[in-house]
Amino acid sequence: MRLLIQFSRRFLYRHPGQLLLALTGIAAGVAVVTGVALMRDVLMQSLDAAAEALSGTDSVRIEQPGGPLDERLFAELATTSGAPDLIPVLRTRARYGDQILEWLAIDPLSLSEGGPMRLSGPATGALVGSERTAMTSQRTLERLGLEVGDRISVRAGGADIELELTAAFEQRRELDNRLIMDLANAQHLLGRQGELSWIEAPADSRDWLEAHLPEGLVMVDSQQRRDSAARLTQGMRTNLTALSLLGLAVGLFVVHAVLSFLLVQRRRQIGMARAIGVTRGQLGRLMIGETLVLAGLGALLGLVLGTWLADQLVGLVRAPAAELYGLVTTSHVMPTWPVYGLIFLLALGAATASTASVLRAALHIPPGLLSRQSDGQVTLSRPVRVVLVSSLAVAGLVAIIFSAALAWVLIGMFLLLCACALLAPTLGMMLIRAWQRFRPLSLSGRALGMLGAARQRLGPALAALSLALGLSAGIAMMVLGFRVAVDDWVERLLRADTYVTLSQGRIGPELFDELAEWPEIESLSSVRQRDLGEGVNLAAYDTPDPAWQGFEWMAGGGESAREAFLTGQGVVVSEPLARHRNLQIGENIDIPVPDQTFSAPVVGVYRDYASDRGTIAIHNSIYRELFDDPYRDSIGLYLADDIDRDALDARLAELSDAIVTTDRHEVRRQTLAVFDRTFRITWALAVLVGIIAAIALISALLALGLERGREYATLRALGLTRGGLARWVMVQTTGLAAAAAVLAVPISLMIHAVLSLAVQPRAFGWSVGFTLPIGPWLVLIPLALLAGLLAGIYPAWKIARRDPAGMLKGSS
Amino acid sequence: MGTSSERVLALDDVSRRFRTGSETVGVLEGLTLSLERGQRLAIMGASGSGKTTLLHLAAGMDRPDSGRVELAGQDLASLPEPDITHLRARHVGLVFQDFNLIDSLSVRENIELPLWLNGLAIDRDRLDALVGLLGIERLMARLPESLSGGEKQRVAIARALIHQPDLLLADEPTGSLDQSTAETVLELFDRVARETGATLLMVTHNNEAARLCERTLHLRHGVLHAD
Repeated sequence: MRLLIQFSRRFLYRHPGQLLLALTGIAAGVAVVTGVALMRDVLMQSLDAAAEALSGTDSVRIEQPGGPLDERLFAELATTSGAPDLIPVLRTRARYGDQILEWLAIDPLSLSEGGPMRLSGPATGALVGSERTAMTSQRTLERLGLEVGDRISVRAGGADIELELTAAFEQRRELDNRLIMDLANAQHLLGRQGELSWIEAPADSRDWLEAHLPEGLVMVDSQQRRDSAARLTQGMRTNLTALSLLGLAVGLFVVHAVLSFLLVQRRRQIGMARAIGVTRGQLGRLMIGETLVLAGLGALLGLVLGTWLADQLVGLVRAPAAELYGLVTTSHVMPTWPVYGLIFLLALGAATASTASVLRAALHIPPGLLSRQSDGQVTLSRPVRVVLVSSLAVAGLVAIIFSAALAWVLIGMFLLLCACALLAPTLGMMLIRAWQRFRPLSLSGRALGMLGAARQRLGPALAALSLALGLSAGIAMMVLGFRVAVDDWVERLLRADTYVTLSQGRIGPELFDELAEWPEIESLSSVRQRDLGEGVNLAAYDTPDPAWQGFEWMAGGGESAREAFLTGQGVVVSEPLARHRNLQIGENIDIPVPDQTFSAPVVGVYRDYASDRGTIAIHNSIYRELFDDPYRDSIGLYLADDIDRDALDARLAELSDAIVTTDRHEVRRQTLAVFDRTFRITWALAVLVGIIAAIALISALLALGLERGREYATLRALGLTRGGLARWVMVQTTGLAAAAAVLAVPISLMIHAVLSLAVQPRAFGWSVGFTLPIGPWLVLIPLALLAGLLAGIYPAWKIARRDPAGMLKGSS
Repeated sequence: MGTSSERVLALDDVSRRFRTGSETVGVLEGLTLSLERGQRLAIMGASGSGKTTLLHLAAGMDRPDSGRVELAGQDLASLPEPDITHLRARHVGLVFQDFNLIDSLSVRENIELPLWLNGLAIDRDRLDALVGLLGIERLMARLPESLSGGEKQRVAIARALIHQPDLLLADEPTGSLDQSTAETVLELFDRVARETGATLLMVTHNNEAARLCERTLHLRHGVLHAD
């Protein structure tokens, strides 16, 4: 066995290019999976990381369901005999430029001496020094290009607030993207005097708290908070994981292509080794060992690359996580050994599985074989292929159509993609042969003819490339189709001419009543939102006729529904909520109200893309009664005809300096900007998958170039110039890319359909109509051809510069 | 040496060395030979004596370390690589020991390759006559992998002659064939070469093959001997 290992080692040393490609393929795939896995963990940890840094992981949080806590509760509890260490916290989000920060306000004096973070005397002073002083981590300062002592303006609670950064935490990664501030100062600046978001207490004080907490409050431990973050981000995380696994799968095509090429190179040596008595078992062990070593090295490289990639992906996911789920993430990932270990094992297993056919082919090399040609490789017979493709397609469709679970739909899509991968080489070669028949005597016809005879070698690359292109185009089509749906929804929903908010947060009833008297304003709509926990929103609307017409009904609705809505005899819910809770029209839904539960039947389900956890909408008059909350978050103004807008704005400004008006076009622009930010990470992953596919293409072509070196040398000997041979190779790469691009069209349609019609409703709860935006094809097909051309440059240069005499001599 | 107008190939004081690790091995040392139009010359020598290197130098696929190679009246040293390739395509036909047919092209496409490379139209009459002479009419649509060794070499001979080259270079044309097939192929090779009037330079270690030529030289230690 030692000699066999030497044989293997020396062979691989002599083929560093192939070795590098195999390592690159594995590393790229593993990097994408690692990047997404670590980024997912950041999402999961983001809900808790900062609070844990302040109070420790073993804590319990006291919350008021559906609203803020009254600060008096903290005073009462803290002064009760035997009270544990309690930390009152006010939390909100603040925007600095295009960055979203979590603003955590605490009472610095309440941090326990034994706690994980104890502010020193100067730090405490820095925090309570003046009303506008705040602290953040050194890392955040560096990322934002700030220094201690700088004054910044952040937007929070609808107001622009000036803060002074007086100190920075060192080595507190959990506090990245957090602004820490004194509680009383923050309450004052935010206009939320007397309010707390929660009270943090040690977990071992649970019994004491249960005995002393008033009715209606809940205790949430860190595991429950983690579960909550997991549920909130489930759709997003599952989609990204599926994409990353696809990246790994494409990377494995590279591994398969390279290892099968190395096998072709060694057929002769393996044949000789078998002739002198090397058994199949010894050969099998050698090849599996080689694969494991290669995969192991590639995976280690991938883990390093993936950790770097995760930091970049966190940058992309930060804005949508904050805007969609209210999660402010840290800037950097916090890798753990179990995650690394799991991905490493996954890479080893997947690489070994992907080379199973290569191994089988190696074991079937007859003893004494001297040919280096690839004949005799093990391939699936046509009937077996037909049965396999049909089975995969049927199983995939069944999973997609009949399962309500997102995981099964993604598995179904994966099965369909496997069927496509199996079909792609056959269909691709048919396309290439069709072109060859069309121009048989041209350079392109002859060059493509040579490709047609190399199906075995090019099959994996063709499959990888068409899948990657199809995936990119399919995702792009889904995103564009979704964008059109969101745009339509916003257009329909935003009926008011202009929207009024207050820079000091909530709008009092006096302003609403006054505006209702103005002759320029025909009617007013308004909204007040409240978090019901688990990301579910309660929206209280004033709905004049045009505002009510802004709802697009998926079920129910109509005049009777409106009557029930206005009188509190019914509520309307968003499509995501109806899907997540499987709510039907007429079914009762409970809304937690302080000291009681309000229950009403669902009378309408409306289209909504604002929240994937869902919204329950009730009329504002009912809300005011139930929650004793007279405030509104924003008011929509429906103006009479021919109103001078400048004069109206001036009149509004006279009313209060704090009034902010935004016209509906601006709201629409902001909504679409949020949408675009949300899908930046999807685009990034699609591009990464495309890059891995390009590596697959280059590796396959290099392998083809080396395997067919004798034929290329013969062409050169017969009089094909270096330039001619380079063109020959470029025609092959471009032809291959063109075939992959053509195959990618139906694959992209399938992916678009599955993502839009099956994945979106199950992952996020909303339905997206199936449109056919052909823009991605118009971009991706020329891009694929360009990529094919570019991918051909290196193989063409390498093949064309080879000395034909040397190649021919070596082969004889 | 004859005049350049009659002379198809000339090697004048040609040397070629190769580096193997830290060692430099001289394969050809001051070799001189000339071939006039219509002549047939066999070069014999043991394995590793430099026969194939000589052939590659003659075809312009390799460059000498010193000396001069003239093909079809052109000094190869004065030509850039693309011009040498064009010169080879137009004036040289090659027959290899291992046939070197393009597996992905049919027999017909393999034979037509030199015409395509030279931008020449297919002369149906000549093609039919040549394949008839070689007895491969029925193989034209097949792929090389389905042919026997003898059939492959016949296709290779047709490919080498289809564009009526001035010089036919043959490298061990029967080296991969069994004795009986080799005799048949040699017979055909002889007939076709005579009928087409091709100038032939053949390297071989097969006495039977060498007998097809008017003149035989022996290559030993990089130097040609008339014997």
